[in-house]
Amino acid sequence: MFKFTTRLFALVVFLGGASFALAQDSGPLIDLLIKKGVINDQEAEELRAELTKDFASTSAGKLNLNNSLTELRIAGDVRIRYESRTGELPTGDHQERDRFRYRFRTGLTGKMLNNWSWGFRFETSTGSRSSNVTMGDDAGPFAKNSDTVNIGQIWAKWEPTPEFSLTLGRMPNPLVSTLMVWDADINPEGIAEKFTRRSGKSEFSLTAAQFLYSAASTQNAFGAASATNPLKDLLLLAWQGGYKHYLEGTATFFQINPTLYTYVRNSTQNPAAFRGNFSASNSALVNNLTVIDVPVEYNWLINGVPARLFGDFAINLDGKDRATKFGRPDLDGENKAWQVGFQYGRATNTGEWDSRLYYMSTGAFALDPNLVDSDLWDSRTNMKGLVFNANYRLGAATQLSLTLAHGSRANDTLIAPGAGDIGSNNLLNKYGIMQLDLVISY
Amino acid sequence: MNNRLIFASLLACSAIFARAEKLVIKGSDTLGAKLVPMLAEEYKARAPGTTFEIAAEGSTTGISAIIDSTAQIGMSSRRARPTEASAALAKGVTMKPTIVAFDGIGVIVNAGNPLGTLTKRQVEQIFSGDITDWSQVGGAAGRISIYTRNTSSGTYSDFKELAMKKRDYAGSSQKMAGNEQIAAEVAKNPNGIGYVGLAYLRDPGIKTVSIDGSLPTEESVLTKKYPYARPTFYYTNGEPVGVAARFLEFTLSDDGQLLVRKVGFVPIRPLN
Repeated sequence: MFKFTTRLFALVVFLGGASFALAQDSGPLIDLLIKKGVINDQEAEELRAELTKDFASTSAGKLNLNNSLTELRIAGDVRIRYESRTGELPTGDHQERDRFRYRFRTGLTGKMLNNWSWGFRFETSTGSRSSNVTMGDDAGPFAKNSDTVNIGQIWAKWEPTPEFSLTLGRMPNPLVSTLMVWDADINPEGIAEKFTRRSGKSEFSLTAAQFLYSAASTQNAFGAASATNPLKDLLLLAWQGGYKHYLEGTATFFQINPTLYTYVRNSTQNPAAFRGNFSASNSALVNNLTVIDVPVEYNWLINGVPARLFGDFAINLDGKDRATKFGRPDLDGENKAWQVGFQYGRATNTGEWDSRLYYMSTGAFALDPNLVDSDLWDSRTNMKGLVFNANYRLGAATQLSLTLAHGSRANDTLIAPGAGDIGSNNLLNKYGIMQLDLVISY
Repeated sequence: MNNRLIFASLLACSAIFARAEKLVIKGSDTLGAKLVPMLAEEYKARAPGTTFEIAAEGSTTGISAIIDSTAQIGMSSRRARPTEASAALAKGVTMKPTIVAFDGIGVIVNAGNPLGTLTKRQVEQIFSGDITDWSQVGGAAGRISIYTRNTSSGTYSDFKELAMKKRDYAGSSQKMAGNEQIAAEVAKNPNGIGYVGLAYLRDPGIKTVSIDGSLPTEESVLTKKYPYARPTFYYTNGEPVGVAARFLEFTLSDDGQLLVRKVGFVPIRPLN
């Protein structure tokens, strides 16, 4: 009997080309063997038990996953970075900040029955615009004060149809954007709805997002409202339309994503968000911001190599009021931001590389300084300059990246407001950054 | 003289001990509610002194009992899962299944329900909650009440696998402890639907609906034409020994299999 079972087991593995991890898939083959009269039901059960036992001794066999789960995915990356930032004040005073940094992100995403899915991702660092940890930046040698892991993403999604999705939680940014407007590390919290439709060579999309920008601990609190006792939650609302048109295959296409951003309850009723006295010492405020942003790109092939021409234009419709509240109504023209650039290549497979060069200028009253990229212009607005980035694919999961940027204050009569990593001095006149990254993704 | 006395005493003790053989059987309600108690009664009539402890609280408890060595036989209406096999391996237990009968899971409705047949797709949609009214499957209008077994039941998971593509049961479904309870609830509720093993299809007040035109019968189950057919098992730790082996042998004998048929299950081989 044992020899017979062993032979059948070998047959099943051979025919199925299966590893032990696939033993559970041998059911139909066993059923076929019964049907053909090669084995009887009892022998089949003994064979199944043998396969189950072997499968149970593997790592996969010890997992007990919910039946509602249809797919589970583990993904993340490790990045080791050398970074050098430089800044210069109008007086010629100079500052450098050279750091070795790392970033770790790891998460699980699951697809469930009935069109639900979920995900969470752990990330290093507590910052909203960075997952970096600076090495050696602790209370003592090799201490772990800054080496913390936090929840970067946690979301639930419902896709009742292939064309519509509803996402709730702390999510990957659902909006098409550029580093000029949104730092790529930000995972906004709230609700997002997306509708997409493909018709011939055209693809249309509508995305609406309601982000909880800043929550009041209580609503309509006892006593007078103040910056620390606000009346209501502050919301950032976004509406984005999308149009993508394929001209040839999937490599040649044009895409445009006009977006409107508004802030709700950033009024006098909500002192925490309303900072009418926008000033040099109070620069990252969100009053008088109604921004229209239009990222656009054109992709094509040059001798078979992917190329991309891209740009982004944003204007704050309340820029004049923002400038007035700042005390410079004459500078209401500083309500625009733009970038234009060119990319050549795409680092997807081992040995491939890409590079991009672009110019970016951000007016002082154009964008929300809390959202703009924290690296390129040091989280500031009222900056302009040139950015170069290149990537080289070392292997299937490893990549080398280099980023160089050099900028200066766009309008010398204004501060360059923003959080600032090179120092909080808003009179920053020149700024430079160099980043060299090794990334391992899994 | 003393040695003779000791030997005689030992013989007497072993005889008493042998007569007081106890067999602990735990697990499936499908097997344990009717079939195994009847087999036990018949076995006791042939082997006086054998005592049985039978607990029918679901297949999961039967497999756990073998893993934990708290029963000699674990009744199960489903196969052991890899995680259970893994737990057994860790404890040095070898899960050995023996098919003792075949069963068909019949889909039942109230005897007053005019519906006589459903498709496999409709069954999946009803039990997963996609279809909530009888009018959606050609019946008289009325909100469908779903009765299922509880989560420790092998029938609960078997039905998900055989009939529902492993989807979850509708949130509104009501979980019952056993086949008899499901049959009783469906008999009381004109809008009820549930599933029970073959042995319970004759309960009063219910009727069995055909699935894609096939009813659960001995012939359709043995030939595997009925889609919701399954084997039922005794699980033991390796080859059974002692009273467990003898009871298993009796279960598989012609006499045992005639009882299998009598209760409403399908014997493992054709019988005269």
